[in-house]
Amino acid sequence: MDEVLADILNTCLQQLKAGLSVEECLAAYPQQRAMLEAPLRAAQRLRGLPQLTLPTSAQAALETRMLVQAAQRRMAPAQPPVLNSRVPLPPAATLGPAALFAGVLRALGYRGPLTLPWLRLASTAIALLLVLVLGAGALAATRAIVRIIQGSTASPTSTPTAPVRFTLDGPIEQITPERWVVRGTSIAIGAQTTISGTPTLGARAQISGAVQADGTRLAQTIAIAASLMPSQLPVPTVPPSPIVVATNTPTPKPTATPTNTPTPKPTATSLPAGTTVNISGVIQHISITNNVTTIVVNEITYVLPPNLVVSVGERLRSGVPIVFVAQVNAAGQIVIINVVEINHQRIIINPPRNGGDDDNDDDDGDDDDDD
Amino acid sequence: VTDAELVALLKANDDQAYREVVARFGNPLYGYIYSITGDPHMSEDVLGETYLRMVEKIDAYTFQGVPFKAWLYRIAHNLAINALKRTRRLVGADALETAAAPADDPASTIAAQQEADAVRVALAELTEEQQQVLLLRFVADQSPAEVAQALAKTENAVKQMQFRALRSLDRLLERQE
Repeated sequence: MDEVLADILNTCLQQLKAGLSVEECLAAYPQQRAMLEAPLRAAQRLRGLPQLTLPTSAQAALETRMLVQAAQRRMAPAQPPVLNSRVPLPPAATLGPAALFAGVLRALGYRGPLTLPWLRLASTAIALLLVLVLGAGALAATRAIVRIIQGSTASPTSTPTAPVRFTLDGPIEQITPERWVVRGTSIAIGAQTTISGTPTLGARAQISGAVQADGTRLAQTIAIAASLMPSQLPVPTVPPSPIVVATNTPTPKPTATPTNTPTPKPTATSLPAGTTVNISGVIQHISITNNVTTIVVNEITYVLPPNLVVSVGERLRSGVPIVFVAQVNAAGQIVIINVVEINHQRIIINPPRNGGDDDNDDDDGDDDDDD
Repeated sequence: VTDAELVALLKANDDQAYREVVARFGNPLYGYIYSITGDPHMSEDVLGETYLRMVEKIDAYTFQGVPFKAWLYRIAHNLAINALKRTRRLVGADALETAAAPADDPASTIAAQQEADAVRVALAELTEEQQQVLLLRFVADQSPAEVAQALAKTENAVKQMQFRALRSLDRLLERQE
């Protein structure tokens, strides 16, 4: 009865959704009316719950936060595919010879249970003997059979069958013969990869390719566009600040706060040496290579000189907002010359030792239970 | 992009795929979370947490034919319930209910808010499974077949659960009035 009613109710719910009134639905099922009225009423009230939409700005902020975390995940060492860790020989492989021995015992006329300790010991000993006699080939064959059996029971949906295509568009940040880094993403270059244009650091690359079974992205075609124009880079707004300011007062905030400056693109820029830029963004990544500290903000890598590392290093963390002034050097690198704010706190370079250092620990992550 | 392709791209850390998740599921997920918490700010936080949890766990997720959104809704549901419990521990259920309606709402909006609160309170008294069935059906607007896949049940079982849950909900709502 319950099942029939549940079906009728579902039909009525569909009709309500299509625009019919509760009364019209009930009229079609007069005998079940008493049973259907209450659930239909409840369904109507449930459907009446306000449907809120998230403001676009909030949606964008959440998306940015997610992408920053994804970028951090990208930088983390790759994990081996899950399936590989499940393949090692299971107990079934050792059960193979034992089962064989049990079969021999049965063949010799033994009809009792095979759970006695002496019998298990004997079966192991004879299984070893069998292995020695039949040689490693028999064991290998047994293992192969076990693998085949396991293979046939493995989850059929764990690997996608068709290669998944991807496209990527962004500045080239690193070039090696085997792989490039484009917009923070590592791209494998194979023998089949066709490259049109001259690849240079900072040039814009449009890549299409396929995601391999191990998760690497293999480029199939790469089209290089011209290096990004200086106009796409941040506009210089303030003169270079002194690198180290030994003072008891906070470093004054630049009057032109660079909140809406255009997003800079290349790491090695074609801007003339000496150009100063104001940058505001979130630290996506920090790395130290050959004693050179670099931070990635707005997908651009900036060099942090050692003196600034000493001053502000401990405050630098991925995911933390930062405002700084940088200058293009002769090599085309963008070098940070003054840090204005970290985590919305004004930075005082070389503060007095007795000054109160309010280390703003912005770790709001909670480790809640996770199902 | 099919669900299988989307999952593969997410596993390959494709930014475009992450954006696709936000574009495709952002608002429905937010509405779903809001129907549990009744608090827009908390819902926004929970949605953010849901995205981060997705990034964190995507490697361990295997696509087995069940719609990808089912996994997302499950994460969101668990996080929303946890957030709600935590808040109730901190401020008490009464404070949460009175804090829900913004002060500058016109009278009609307040009436609608009270109705929504009444439904939410009644919903919270149902079993966890009944809540999930009703929210997925009537807030996330999923079909009985989709709900069945998400909860690993048969479609018939979902229909029956829906029937009983709606009957209980009506009883609870009547008791409130």
